[in-house]
Amino acid sequence: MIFSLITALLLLAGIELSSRTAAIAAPLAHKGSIVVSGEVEPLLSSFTVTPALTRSTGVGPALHWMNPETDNGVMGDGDDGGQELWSLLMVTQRLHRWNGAQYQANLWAGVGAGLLTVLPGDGTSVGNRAAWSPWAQADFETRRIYVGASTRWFQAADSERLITSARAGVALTSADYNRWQPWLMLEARTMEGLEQGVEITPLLRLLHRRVLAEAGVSTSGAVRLNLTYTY
Amino acid sequence: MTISQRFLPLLALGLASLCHGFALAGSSLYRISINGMVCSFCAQGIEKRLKAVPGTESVQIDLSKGMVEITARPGATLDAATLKKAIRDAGYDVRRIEGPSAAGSGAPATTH
Repeated sequence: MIFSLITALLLLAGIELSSRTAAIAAPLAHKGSIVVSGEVEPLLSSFTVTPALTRSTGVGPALHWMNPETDNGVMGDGDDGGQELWSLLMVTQRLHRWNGAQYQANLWAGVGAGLLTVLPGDGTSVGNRAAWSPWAQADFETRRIYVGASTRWFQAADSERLITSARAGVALTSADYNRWQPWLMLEARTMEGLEQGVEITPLLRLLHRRVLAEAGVSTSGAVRLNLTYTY
Repeated sequence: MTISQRFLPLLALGLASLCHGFALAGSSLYRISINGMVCSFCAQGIEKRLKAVPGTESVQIDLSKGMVEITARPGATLDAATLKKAIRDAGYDVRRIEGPSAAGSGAPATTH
């Protein structure tokens, strides 16, 4: 049962080739909670606030700052080449959760709508454009193993970004509610429209109740820091 | 002997009886097995929802067993349906509820 579920999720992940920016274990917490998440790295930084209106639906603001490489290839032929700020109102929906005695698996989807602001090198705004961003995520975790995949598309006039990632992780200690639990995570990610190629990043994840923190350095030398807190 | 001196022992006896009455009422213990509770990130949400249930005194999480122990306030009884709803609102499923039993006593009754 568990193995067939893992296989199904991995197949789904492979088909969807998808990724959410800050790919955490759970983009949404319990009903009435607020998940605040920040991610910092050279090409893509994000800040999201997700209040849970129900146990499966959240609505909140998201800011994504992007710094495309000059020769980013593939997408967005009309790109201005400047830094971008995507300001979106996001809806996060847990489509389904499978709860087992030893595991948890989830299917997530969401969509955001808002504005893209492009800033040329001299810092002068060139105006706003309407923007939207759908995403999806599938994940499976036990007390010692995590696998997940996600995809996210950012679209506005003359700008298009597709971020796809797959993640796997293993806990270095057993799960204990009263102690920090360190995890070793490995992520493979493509960011079409931002950079070429596949970026591989090993990350150290620390998890304790309301706090999830991650730090790592990608194969291209980029430092990544993620911090998520649940209120 | 003044009036207050005569009534002081009676007052002390009354207070002692009151305290003994609370002790007899005792605390009830509930044990809940939960599906999907695999990390402390999940468990903290469950703990928060259960602590908000009226009559709950304390919540203990055993992550390795996927189990939660709830101690009710002395004299309070917790409703199984309310506990299940609190856990469902946190995003998880109840596998089994045992209780109430007197805190520190033997096996409690079981509700599936």
